[in-house]
Amino acid sequence: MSSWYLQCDDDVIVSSRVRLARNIDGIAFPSRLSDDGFKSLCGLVKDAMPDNLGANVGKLNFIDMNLVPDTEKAAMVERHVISPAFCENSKNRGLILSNDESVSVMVGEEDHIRIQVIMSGSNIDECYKIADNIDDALSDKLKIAFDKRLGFLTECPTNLGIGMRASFMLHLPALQMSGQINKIADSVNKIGLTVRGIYGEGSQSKAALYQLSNQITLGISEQNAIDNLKSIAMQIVEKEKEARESISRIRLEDAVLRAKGTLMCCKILSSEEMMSLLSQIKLGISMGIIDLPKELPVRLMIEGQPNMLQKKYGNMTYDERDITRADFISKNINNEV
Amino acid sequence: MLCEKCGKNPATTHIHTVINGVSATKHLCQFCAANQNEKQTSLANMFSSMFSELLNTGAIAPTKTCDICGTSFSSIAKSGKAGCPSCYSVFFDELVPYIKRVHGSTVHMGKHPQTNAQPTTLVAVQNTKDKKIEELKQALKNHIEKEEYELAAKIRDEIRMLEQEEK
Ligand SMILES: [Zn+2]
Ligand SMILES: [Zn+2]
Repeated sequence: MSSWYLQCDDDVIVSSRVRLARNIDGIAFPSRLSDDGFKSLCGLVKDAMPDNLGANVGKLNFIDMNLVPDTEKAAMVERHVISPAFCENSKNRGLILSNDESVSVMVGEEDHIRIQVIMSGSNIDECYKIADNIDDALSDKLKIAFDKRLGFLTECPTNLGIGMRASFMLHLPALQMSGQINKIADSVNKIGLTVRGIYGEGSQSKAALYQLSNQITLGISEQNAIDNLKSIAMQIVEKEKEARESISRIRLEDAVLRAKGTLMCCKILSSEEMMSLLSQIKLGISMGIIDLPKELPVRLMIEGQPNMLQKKYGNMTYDERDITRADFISKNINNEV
Repeated sequence: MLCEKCGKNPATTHIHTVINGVSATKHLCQFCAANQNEKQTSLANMFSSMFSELLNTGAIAPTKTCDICGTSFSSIAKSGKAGCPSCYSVFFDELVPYIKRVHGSTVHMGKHPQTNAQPTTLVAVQNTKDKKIEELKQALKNHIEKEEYELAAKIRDEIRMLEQEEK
């Protein structure tokens, strides 16, 4: 299997992700742990982690974050392998990563252990299954902090209970354009879920990418939290599809074809402009306006991020980066036309 | 199906909730769904604002600390974070009302880990407060040298919080 962002071919559901927060009994939480404490913590988790998770996931590698260059750390954030907080505070921290990066385990983020499984499209059940297996394997070897009443014990009380955040990344350009997205955000809030823009909030969300995730973790089972999330996601997907049909066809064609023209011919391209134009391209492919591979826009959104580009082409100034980005994106689009 | 709240508009939103093991499904129209008054604001913000309420009323016994990590309840209240897993049993009674307000429940309904693993005996990972304070002071010095005063102020507050706890 290859990385999640290379295979996002669904019209609305870009990716699925499950995160589990776990801690070890008798160890201070990360905000009170010293540098030596993080070192010992990494040792404990590294020893407890199985080397191989079998057919679907394969080999797991332990990475000492002290040895990871800053550009690669930032690129890991850009492809959603680690959190921004983990990137900023990575001294003596550890990362356990599968070859396809679908499984990543951050050691010493806000909790001792943060298990993450991410996949393209609508795959939330599979994500949970794998995360649950890793959790089982770890609790075989480590005394995971747990209380019968409060569930899994976490540094922040907002994660108590199942300690799980399950989420979908959704592409919602039509709901954003029609202004319905704010109303949806309000109403899912009332039932224990959140919707937030990934690259900026509301109309600022250039890429129209939104994360829908569960908020309540205590008083609900993992399965019920996932079922709630799926049922709300399906309703949002339906609303997005309805909203797409009600956009004037000629305006939509105009916007999509202009976006394609710009991306094919540009010489300087900022990441904001790239995100906004690729979002139009993705909508255009879904609506049958242009014929490009369905997985192309999301792949380029990630590969065109600043540190992903620097990883590939070396360190650059801002201006050089925008020129390199224009060249990289236009070549990729021209290749497919 | 018509909305079960107003009975006028077609129900377009079907909300499944499971709270304390009781599952229910509400069928609402888009207007009633939007007006549901069980409004929840951002959970993390709620937590620290509820705690500061408590701090101001002076309802906190300042002397009790966690045996494992040395955290006092006022530190948890200030930071919105527990010091270690044991803090939840030490400060259970103090924390429960607030946990209930955030989650609407204090009954875990999910997975129970199957384990025979023994607790870790490493002292290096328990109360590392003195070391942590040393490290924070070094970081504070570095930030001041680099004239990063905002970061420095944040770290100074963290040091104060740790130093105020009972030894
Ligand atoms: Zn109604
Ligand atoms: Zn403690």
